[in-house]
Amino acid sequence: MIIKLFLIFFKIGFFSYGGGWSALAIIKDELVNVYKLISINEFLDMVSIAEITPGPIAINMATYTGIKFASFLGGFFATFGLILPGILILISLETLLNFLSKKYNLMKFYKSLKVGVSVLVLFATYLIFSSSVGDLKSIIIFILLLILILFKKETHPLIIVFSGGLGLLLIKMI
Amino acid sequence: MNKYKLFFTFLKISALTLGGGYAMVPIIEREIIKKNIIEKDDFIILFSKAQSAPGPIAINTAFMVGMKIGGIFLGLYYVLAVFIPPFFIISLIATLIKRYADLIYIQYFLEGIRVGLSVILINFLFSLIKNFKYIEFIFLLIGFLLIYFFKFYSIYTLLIITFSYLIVTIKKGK
Repeated sequence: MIIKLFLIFFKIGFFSYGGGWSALAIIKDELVNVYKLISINEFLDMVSIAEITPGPIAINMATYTGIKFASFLGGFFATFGLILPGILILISLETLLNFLSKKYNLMKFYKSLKVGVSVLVLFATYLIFSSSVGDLKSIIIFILLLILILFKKETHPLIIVFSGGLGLLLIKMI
Repeated sequence: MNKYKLFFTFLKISALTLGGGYAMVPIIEREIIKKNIIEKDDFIILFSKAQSAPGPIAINTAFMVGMKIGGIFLGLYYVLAVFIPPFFIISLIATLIKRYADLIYIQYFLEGIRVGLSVILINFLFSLIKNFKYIEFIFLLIGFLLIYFFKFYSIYTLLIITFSYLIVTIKKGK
């Protein structure tokens, strides 16, 4: 089971580009539809738990699934499997780029990569924005936080906790 | 700032940041730049590389920060720092609580968190694209449409946009 968990999450890790939110669809397909390890309700619970606990969403999902089926070792190897492909690819990529940078000026490539990466960030922003901002309450929180972040000009770690608190507070009032 | 002590900065960020990897990256950026470890432009390049490999974005970013200032092993050391807190928090939760996503207050808190995350993402996106000219915006739009309407995989979109932009700018440069 531990090896199976490792392999499943290795596969997920290999195909999940664009951050946890974009990866959720892949995680759902693999865990719910392909391997039938968990039900769709369990999956949604897991997403909630992953979100209200600190740390990367996909890491939280891997740890949770791993522990559920094979205790701590399972949690460890599922998470390890998830992050391994990215690390391996980054090491190869960095080696390749170091090699190329001796012959070419890579600034144009980095500038292009930034444009490509911005597309992924834009899509992640769209996904989370369209699934969270809609009703009056969320619009009020959105505007408040936008003013706060424009005013502070930096992302403070507590801003997420603050927005969660606003979510709780405003439900009483509206 | 001792590069080994930066481990505790990553540990702290991972232990305290709700909302997943995309919430963590701007906070990592803030800490790294505040401590004068890496310049802002270099951080953007480093983040672009991190984003072009699969897997959790916060893990990849931590790894690239380590690679940049001290090589592969320092990278893995920082990855460990991001990995540890959620692993133990989730281990605890997975063994203690069965269905706590049902609690209605947690749902409200979650709604707030998602709005907060979208504000953070919008802010981060703006910092990425603020120097873009119209040609970059065209590529950004094309990339978004590829994912949104044609359901392109993120990795293909990333490659297509990066390399087509590279070709266009090189041709224009000559």
